[in-house]
Amino acid sequence: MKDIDPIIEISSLAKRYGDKEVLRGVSMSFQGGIWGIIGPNGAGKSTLIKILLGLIKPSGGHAKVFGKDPFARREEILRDVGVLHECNVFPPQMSAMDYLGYAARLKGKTGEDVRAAVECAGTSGYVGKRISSLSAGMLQRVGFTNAILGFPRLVILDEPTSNLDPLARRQILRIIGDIHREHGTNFLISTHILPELERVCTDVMILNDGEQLLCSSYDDIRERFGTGVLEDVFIKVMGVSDQ
Amino acid sequence: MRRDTLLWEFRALLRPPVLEIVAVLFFYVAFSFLFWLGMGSATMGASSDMSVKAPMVMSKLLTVAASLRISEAYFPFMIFAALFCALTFANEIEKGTMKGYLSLPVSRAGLFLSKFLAVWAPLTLASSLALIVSLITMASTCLEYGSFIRVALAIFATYAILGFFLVSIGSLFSIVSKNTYVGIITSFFAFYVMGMLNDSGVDYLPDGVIMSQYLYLAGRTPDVAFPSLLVTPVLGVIFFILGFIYFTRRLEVG
Repeated sequence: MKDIDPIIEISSLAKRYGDKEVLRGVSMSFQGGIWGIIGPNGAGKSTLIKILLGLIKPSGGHAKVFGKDPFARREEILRDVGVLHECNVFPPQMSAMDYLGYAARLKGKTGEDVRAAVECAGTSGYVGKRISSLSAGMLQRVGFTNAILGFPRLVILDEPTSNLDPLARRQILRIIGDIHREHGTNFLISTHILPELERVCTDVMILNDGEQLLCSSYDDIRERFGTGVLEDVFIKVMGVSDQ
Repeated sequence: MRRDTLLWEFRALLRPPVLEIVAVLFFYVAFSFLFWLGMGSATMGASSDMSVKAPMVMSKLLTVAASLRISEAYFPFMIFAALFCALTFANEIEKGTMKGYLSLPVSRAGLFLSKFLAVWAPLTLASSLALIVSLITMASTCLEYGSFIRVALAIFATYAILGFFLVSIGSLFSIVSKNTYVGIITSFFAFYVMGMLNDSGVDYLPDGVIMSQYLYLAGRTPDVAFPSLLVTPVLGVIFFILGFIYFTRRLEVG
């Protein structure tokens, strides 16, 4: 039963804050791979991620991760999910290694798993330093290390490259591809930087103003739109001019 | 509740201004007690000769302490409880640290209990130890061991119950408001209302109970009905349950 459950299943998902609807009728099923969610600011990408992590409750519809309700069974689900939030806030007085060690213990992972993640993410140079002394880019990479810790079944990355220099961005994307191939880890990536997503994604969802405009495999998109350039696809789907 | 989470929360508290707050609370309670105790002895014409018999000294200490408002400590205790709760709950929600913790496989119940204990324990221990240190300073040569233990336990129980009551209210308001300043102000307001009600003669509220409890646990007959001693713990439990339910069932961290 567990094997045939999709990684993520969403049906008519809605979220409302007061009068404002930030998600409307989003439905999809993610069987695995590297799934990119794209959309303009305020499209509902981060809200969708928060629902999948059980941080907030949907106002309508339902979401399931590994066939389970994320709000009700959050702890169980998160043992096999790694997360990088758009704004990472770690306790400033701790070292990054302390935090990773704590996360590893909660996930039932060992010190060896922490070392493997640190090595893989290339953060060994500063992981022992206090979090308050790290730059935004370093924190981003520490957050990425935390997300891939133990190479879980699903890694959710919200704007994983937003604070990184071009070289580091390429490196992170290469690491994502490598982890997916070597460990079978599935990724859900929310980003504004579309050319980067093209390099790794297998599936794409476009959200705008809380509505799902497109959800398809990257191969289907290339066939349907005659191009693999996500910026062009995005502009076409959004129905706006790039002029 | 996992041991890892509890230890982590205690470690997370070892940051400015938490240690400073605990130190201030400790010295305030210790010195204000000594100050009031000295004034009380003078006022009551008590002998400063510590060679008087132990039970008499204990009785005098308690009488003086009670009559000269040992619950003076309630004021700083109230401020620091509101501040601690807001830093531990509201501030972490506001800054996003809570989002990080809730993205780890830790139960909401375990996280709430760990944070609650990490706030309650330092407040209670600092205040209790301060008073106990004061007692040792004042009566170390004449207070017999058995009486000292009884008084120390009474002090600890009083602060433990008062701390539980205040931290329950503070954590509830901090969680619901999700805002540091609103959390501090609303908690403080709630504590203040409790104190005001008590001063106006309602004997079922913390300020009155703390003194009665002190006397009761110390072996003297309380001058209020026994059920009133239960009001602080019962109210504390009600607020605690409300905070627990809100945190585990309703809290959304954006």
